[in-house]
Amino acid sequence: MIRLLAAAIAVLVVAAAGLVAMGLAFGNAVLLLPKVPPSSGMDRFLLIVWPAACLVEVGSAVVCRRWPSRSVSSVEVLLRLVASWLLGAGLLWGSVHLRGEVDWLLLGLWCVAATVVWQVLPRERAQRGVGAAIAIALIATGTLMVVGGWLKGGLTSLPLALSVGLLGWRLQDVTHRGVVIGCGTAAMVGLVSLGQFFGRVSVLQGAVLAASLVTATLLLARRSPATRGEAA
Amino acid sequence: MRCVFAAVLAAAVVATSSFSQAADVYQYDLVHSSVSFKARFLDISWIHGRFNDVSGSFSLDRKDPAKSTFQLTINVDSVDTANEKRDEHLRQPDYFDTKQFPTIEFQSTKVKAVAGGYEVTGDFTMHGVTKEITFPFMGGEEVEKMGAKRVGFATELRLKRSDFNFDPQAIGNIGDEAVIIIDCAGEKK
Repeated sequence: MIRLLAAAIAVLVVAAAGLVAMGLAFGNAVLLLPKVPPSSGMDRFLLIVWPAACLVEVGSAVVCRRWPSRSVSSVEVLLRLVASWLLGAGLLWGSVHLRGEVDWLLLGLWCVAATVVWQVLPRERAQRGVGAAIAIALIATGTLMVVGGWLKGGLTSLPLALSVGLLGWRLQDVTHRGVVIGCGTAAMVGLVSLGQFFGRVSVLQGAVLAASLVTATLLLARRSPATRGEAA
Repeated sequence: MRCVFAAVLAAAVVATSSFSQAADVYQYDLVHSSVSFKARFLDISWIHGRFNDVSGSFSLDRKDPAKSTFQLTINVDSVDTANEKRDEHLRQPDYFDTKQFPTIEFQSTKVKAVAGGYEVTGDFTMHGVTKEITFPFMGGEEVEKMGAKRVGFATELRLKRSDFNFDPQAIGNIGDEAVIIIDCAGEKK
């Protein structure tokens, strides 16, 4: 019986791995993402920056759950600050946006702002609403990129938005949902930055996007107990 | 003694100036030059465009052509296909990604004199990828007009965008091969 169970689990694991591989191959065939070595901002975002941000998110969630104390939370903030800086520097590396000392100063300000967003959103109590709002923001950013003429950038937002939206909604555990929201926040900050710095998404468009995000978050958060994350 | 010293000094100056003149350095003349390109549209017609902001220099050693050098820098943001929306799309990451790769550059590494010009080999960098290319650069005869010494060169390069890491999705309606036409003048004032 145990052997049968082990065999079934092994088959399930192989099947799951196969499905993931097929999904990656399909995604790569459709979206043709990303290129190696990662020379463009989008390639660095998908291959290095976002996975690194997700690792920080998962790591800090594990540490905070095991040792829930204020000092650990401070470590989490520090980790996110460093990750934000790496995220910004990784996205803009080698581009015209990082040529002078002023650019690095602006990058510093950008990473502080990104850390604040990253710190606030996953802590929001209405996490289901936040997950949905982030998914909407990702799709909105992608749409702006497409309208601005960057088709591939816009397409990238779809799998990210679907993953964050669905996982944020379906996961029951608050910590798990927080990790998904954290990863989604990093994806949103990264994609908005890519759109702004490489995709000609204008400041006005960004402002409209931010206002939409806030409105969507508030609406979704107040709409029902389910979006507040109260219903299991 | 003083006369001898002055004579030696004068000879040294003459020798130095004649040495420095061994290679004539010309600056790219933006007013009288053009770097244009064309690519196939749906394999039925050609789309034409040009780069409006180009700089560079040619150093021509008439006695020893192998010591000549050619350098060209194209500001990709200056792309102009007579359609502003298309130009904006070309600047984006789907095509040139000008915020990441703002320039197209060429630096010669080997020059050989051939009939009617030079055969130039060098490093061509576009979209973050550097490849060695060789092409005939025809011209090079010097004329003195409008207060400057001038030379002119012309060539056509045929490059595949897929060789320069362009997004394969951006290759389809617009053909993979692009023809770059360089007609340039250099001036030495």
